[in-house]
Amino acid sequence: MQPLSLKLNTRSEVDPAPSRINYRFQRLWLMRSFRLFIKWISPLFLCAAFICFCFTNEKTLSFFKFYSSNAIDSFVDRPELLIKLISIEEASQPLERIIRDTLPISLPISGFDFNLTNIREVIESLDAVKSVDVRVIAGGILKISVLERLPAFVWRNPKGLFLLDKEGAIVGEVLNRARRSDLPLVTGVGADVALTEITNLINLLKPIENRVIAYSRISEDRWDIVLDRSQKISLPSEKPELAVGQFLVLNQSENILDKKVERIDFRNKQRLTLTLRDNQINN
Amino acid sequence: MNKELFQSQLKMRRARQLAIQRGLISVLDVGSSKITCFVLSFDGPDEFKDSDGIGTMSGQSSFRIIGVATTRSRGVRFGEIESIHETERAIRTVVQASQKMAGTRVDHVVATFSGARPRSYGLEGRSELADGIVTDESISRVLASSEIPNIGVGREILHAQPVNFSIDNRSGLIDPRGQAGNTLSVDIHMLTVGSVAVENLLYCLQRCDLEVAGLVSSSYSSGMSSLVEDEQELGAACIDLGGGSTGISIFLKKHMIFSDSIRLGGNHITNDISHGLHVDFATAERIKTFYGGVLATGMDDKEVIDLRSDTGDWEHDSRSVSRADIIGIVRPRLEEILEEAKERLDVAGFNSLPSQRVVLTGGGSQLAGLDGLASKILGQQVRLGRPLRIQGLPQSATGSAFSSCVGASLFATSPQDEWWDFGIPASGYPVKSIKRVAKWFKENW
Repeated sequence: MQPLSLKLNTRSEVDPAPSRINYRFQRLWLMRSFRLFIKWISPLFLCAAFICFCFTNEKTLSFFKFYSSNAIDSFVDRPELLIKLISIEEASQPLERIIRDTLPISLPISGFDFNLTNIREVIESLDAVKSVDVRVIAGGILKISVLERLPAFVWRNPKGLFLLDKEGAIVGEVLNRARRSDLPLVTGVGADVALTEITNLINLLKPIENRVIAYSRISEDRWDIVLDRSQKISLPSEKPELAVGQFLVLNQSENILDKKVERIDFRNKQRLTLTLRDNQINN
Repeated sequence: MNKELFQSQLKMRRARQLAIQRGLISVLDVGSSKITCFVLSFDGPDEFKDSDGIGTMSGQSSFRIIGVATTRSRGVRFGEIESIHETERAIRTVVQASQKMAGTRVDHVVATFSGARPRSYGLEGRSELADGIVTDESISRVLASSEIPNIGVGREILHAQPVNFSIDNRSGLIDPRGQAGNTLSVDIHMLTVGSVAVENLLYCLQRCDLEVAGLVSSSYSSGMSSLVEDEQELGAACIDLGGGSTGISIFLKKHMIFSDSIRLGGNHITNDISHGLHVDFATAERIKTFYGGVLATGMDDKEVIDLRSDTGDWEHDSRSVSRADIIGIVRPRLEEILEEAKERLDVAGFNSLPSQRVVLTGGGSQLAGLDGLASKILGQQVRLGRPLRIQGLPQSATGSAFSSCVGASLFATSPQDEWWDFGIPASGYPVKSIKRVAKWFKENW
């Protein structure tokens, strides 16, 4: 009989048999469902439980928000991503100043914090700007290329004195006609939409350029050319160029402006009407 | 036939059915010298094709062995469990190792064991056919009509297989159902074993969390695996030379008609060598397997074997013997075993069978020259048997020592019909319970 109380602890007596616990665990482990549970289901469940716990607890949630916003800030504020300079190209000095004043950003600013389309819209909404190209170039520079509207006319209307470009868009306001005496003056409501006609007329009227004071739109229909010495040429609404040509011929041959004529009226094609000053018809 | 036996056997049948549905069953051979576990996987009959070289023999192509483990047996003597915890540990070792090899867990086990003093009985039942035709019910009735002899206290029935049906004067019917006649009689072969050994084995298996799906006598299972089909049909005896006991079974018409066991085996030969040469058991086992034989020739006198031992006594440690000496020890014991087997076969009436074929299997049959000795004792038609080929069985487990385990695998896949597979005849139910059912119906409908 073997000693029943013998403990199998000497090296030569090591029992090759698995212990009952070992045996049972191995059998458990050989079950596919148990393996699946331990390897996939329980870790996934634990993760899900942890995440749920985090996002239902106010304290951890606020901590998480604080931490994440800090992390985002520290990334966004990296010097490599900062915009330090705005370069405005192809704009006149006053326009550049206006653009700088209206831009809704203050430097330095991170590249993440502003919206290029927004900036473009803001700049394009300016009167003096025809179109604009906004882009960020290397070195943290915001490059704004402006296609400026060039003032071609001074327009006086009931609201005030404005500058217009060739297409009739308002470029800006002037306080005084004298400031832009280099530009022709147009007046009257609706003058801005008929500027193509007036451009032709100005070209034709080069010979008497220095005598013209203003081109006046009457009834949004036709033009009057206002000359100094209180003289006035009334043009028809249709084909004013022909009338101007007639006038130039007349002026060249007869020096009509040097006569005491107050108004030369071309409105009726069949009949040129001259209005004389103080009824001096005799001369 | 007692109801308890029916219940327990049918429970094992159900467990086996469940295991086959799951596609996994294990087979455990608890022997005196080694314990072996096979894990069987059922892939269905379509898994193997003719091109695989495996024909359909007796259902063994429907399964495949995916795990095999063998360990030295502990706590088993004469095929019976002597030290439950030792044996339990050994069973745990093999089951775990074979599960590891299979990569899966098995819950159901078909166990085979050699000892427990098996005893064969021939039973005869006879009953009149009420409506002149044999039905399932009349088979159950004729089985129930057979008289069970007094099998003794502390014994239980392990196998009870109907081996022959006869109607009136026509005998040797395989399947009598549907045939007309007046009297149906049946011959049953019943095998009883000592219940203590079975209970010990069941206790071990239960401690290992295994559910028993069948119990097989190892002499039956080694006959199943090592007798070829025509030997089983024409009649043959299988002698399983195990470690602690030698199983004997006689097959006729594909049924086992007799089984017995001798409490002598290979371990006794080793013991004799150990005694005779004053060496320890392990050395004796080694000498037996390397140099053992049964027929001494002049050459064997010259072959000198060193008996190494380390007692410290130089004279004792440097002895040597010739192989003839060892044969001189082995042969008388083998003769004793074979003569004992011959005696048992004679008692069983093996002489009167049409075929006198004897097949030797089991680990002991590997002794060199055994067939020559056996043919002198058991008659001329002796051969050494190896178990059937089974798909997936590793080479190391195809030897004759594994024949009972392979046979148990066959039993697990396609067991023979036993008494309990035919059900209890309706008249066997107590009349009271049927009356109660009828009463219940009357009251409730």
